Amino acid sequence: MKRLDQLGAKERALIEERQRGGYRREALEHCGGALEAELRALVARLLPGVPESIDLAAFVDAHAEDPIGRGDRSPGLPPIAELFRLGLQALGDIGFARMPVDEQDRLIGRMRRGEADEELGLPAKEFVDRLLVKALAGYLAHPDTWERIGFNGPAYPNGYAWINPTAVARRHERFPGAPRL
Amino acid sequence: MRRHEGRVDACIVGCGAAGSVLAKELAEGGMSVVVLEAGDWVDSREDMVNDELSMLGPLDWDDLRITDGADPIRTGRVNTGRAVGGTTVHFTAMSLRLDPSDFEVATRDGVGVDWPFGYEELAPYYVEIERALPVSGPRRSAWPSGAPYPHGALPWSAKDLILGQGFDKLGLHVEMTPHAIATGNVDGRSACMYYGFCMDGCKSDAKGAMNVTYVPKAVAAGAEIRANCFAVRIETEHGRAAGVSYLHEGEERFQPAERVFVCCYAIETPRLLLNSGNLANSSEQVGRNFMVHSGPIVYGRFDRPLDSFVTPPVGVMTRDPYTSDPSRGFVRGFLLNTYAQFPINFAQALVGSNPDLWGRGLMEVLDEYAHWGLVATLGEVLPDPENRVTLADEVDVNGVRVARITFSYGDNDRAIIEAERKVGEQVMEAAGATRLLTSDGTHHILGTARMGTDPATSVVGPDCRTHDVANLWVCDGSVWPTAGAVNPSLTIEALALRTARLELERSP
Repeated sequence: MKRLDQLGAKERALIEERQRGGYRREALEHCGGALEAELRALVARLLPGVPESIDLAAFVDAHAEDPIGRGDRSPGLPPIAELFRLGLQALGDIGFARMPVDEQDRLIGRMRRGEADEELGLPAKEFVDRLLVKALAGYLAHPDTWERIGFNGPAYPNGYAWINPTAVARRHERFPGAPRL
Repeated sequence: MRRHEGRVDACIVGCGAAGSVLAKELAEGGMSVVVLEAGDWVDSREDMVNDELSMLGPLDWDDLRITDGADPIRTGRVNTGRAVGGTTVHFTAMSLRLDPSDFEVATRDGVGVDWPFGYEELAPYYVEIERALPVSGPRRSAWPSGAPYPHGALPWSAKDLILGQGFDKLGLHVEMTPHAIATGNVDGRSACMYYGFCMDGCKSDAKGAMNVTYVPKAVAAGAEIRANCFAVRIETEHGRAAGVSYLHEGEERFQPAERVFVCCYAIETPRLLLNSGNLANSSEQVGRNFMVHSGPIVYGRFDRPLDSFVTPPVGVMTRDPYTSDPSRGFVRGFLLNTYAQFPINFAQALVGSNPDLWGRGLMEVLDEYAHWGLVATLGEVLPDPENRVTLADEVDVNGVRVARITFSYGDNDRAIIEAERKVGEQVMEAAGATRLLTSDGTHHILGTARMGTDPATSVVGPDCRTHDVANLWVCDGSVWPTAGAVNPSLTIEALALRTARLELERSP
C-alpha cells in the first residue's frame, strides 16, 4: 500500500474513514430486526473469509436504495431495497441462518442458478445476484482488501512508474498481500 | 458564462458528445445557444476522486429503466452518463473511426441498411475532431484510421506486452488503440499521468472528454450551459418546435427556441420524443432498431502479475476480424483489445455471468486480481425493428414515464458473440494463461431515431434534421442506421460537427 501522505486529500480521507469505520453502523436501516441475522449469514457464505474489520452486511444495508451505477430492472421486479427485505424474509421463514453451512451453500447454489425462485416464492436469483453485487462493492472498496488482492488503490497525484512486466514483478516481490509469489 | 433570456437560436438538450460539439460550433457561428443538461458540472480537481466506489453513481444515468426481451441489457455506468460532458466523462476514450464498409452493409452484405452517405463524407470531420480532442495513436495503422495521429500513442503496459504475444502467435496484428487522451500538454491540460482511473473521471484532464474540450470552448463562444436541467417535453406550435420545457430544482420552466437539438443518446432521446406527444414519429421508427455492441470479455489468469489496472484500461487492439469474411458463417465482425477492470467492475462482471462463481471460489479469483489479464471484444449487432425503446408504466421521481428497453440478439449477433469469445480464448491460451473465465455484456446504445432519405422509414434526414418537424434535430448515437463495431463517441462528434456546419451554411 502506498503511504497515505503520497495521496490527494480526498483519496486519503476516504481511505482513513473506511479503515476506521469499516462501514459499521449503530443499527441497520432496511434489513434490521429479525432480517439482520439472515443477511449476515448470507453474506458470510457469499464472501467467506472477509475480515471482521469490514462489515459488509452494514454496507449492503446502507446502500440498499443506492443504485451504485446500475438502474435497470426487469418488469415487475420490486425496488431493490424491497427485494432485499422480501428475500431475507423468505430466508428467515425457512431458518436459513440456523442451517448447517453445507445446506446454506446448496440453497445459495440453487438461487444463483435460478432454480430456487419457486421454492422461495420470489425472484430468488435476482435477489441473491443483486445482493452479492452490492456486497462486492463494499468488499472491493475497502483498503484492507486492496492490500490483500494487489490493487494499488488511488493513483492521484503521483501516477505510476511501473508499467512493464519486469517492474510489475518487482513491485509484487515486495507486496505483502501477494498470495502466491 | 453568458446568460440568455428569452428566445434563443438553438436549444440543445444534452451536453454530451454531440451536444457539446453542436454548442461550440453553433455559438462560434454566431447563434445564441442554451444547452440543457440533466447532470451537474464535474470539476476534475474537486469532484473527481481516484476511487471506484465514490465515482459509481455521480457520473451515471442510473435511474430506473425497465429492461426485457430475450437478452435484457443492463443500464447505467456501462452505457450512459449524466454530467456536463455526458458519457465522455467516464468513457474509456477509445477513438476509432468506423470502417468504410460500415456505411454500406446492405449493399455489401445484404443485411441492415446503408447509411445515406459514405465514409468519405465523414472523413474530414473525423480529422477535425481528432485534432481538437486531440487523439493519440500510432504513426501508422493497418486499418482505415486517423494515423498519423496528432499525439503519439500511449505506452504499452505489462498486459499489452504479455497478451500481445498471444495475438502475435495467432497471426493477429496488434497496435496501440487510438485514444482521446493527450500524451503531451495541450490547452493547459496535463499529459496523461497513467492514473488508470479514466472511467472514474480523469484527474489530469488528459482525457479529451467534452467537459475539458468542447464545453469550455462553447462557453467562451457565448453558449450557456444550464446544468441540473431535465427536459420533460419539447413543445410544438403550428407543426414546429417552439422550445423545451424542463425541470430545474423541482420547478418547471420553458426555454423558447428557433431550433431544438435532441442529443440525449439512444434511450433518453426516444423517451423524450415519445413523452412529447409522439413527436417526429410519423414513420413509427422512433425507438425502433435499438442496437448495442456485443462485448464478451475473456479473463486469463497468469502465473505472473500483470497489474492491468495501471495505465488507461484499453491497451493494444486488433481489427483483423472486423470486416465480413465468407468463411466464418456470419456477416460483419468485431474487434478485440486488451482491457482492465477495477476490482468492483471486475468482480461484478464475473459474478453476473458465472452463476457458480461465489463463495470460496470467488474469493480465490479475487485474491489473484493482479494476475488476471483481460481481452475485451466489441461486436456488431444488426438492426432489428423489434428491438426498441418504448415508455414503461413506471414513472421517475418527477412523474415522467421511464424508458422500457426490449432487446434480443439475432442469429448473426449470436454467431459473432461465439466467435468473439473463441478468438479471445485462443489469444489467452497462446499468451500462456493458466485458467480462463468469461463474462457477457453489452457496450454502447445506438439506433432508435434512424437516419435516412425516406421519411417513411427513417426519423431524420442525412443532416440529422427530423423529417416531420423542420426545426427539430436528433443528433447523437440514436441516428446511426447500423452500429459498426467501434466505440461511438468519435463518430457521434464528427456527425455533430457536420450537422452544425450544414445548418450554419443553410441559414447564414
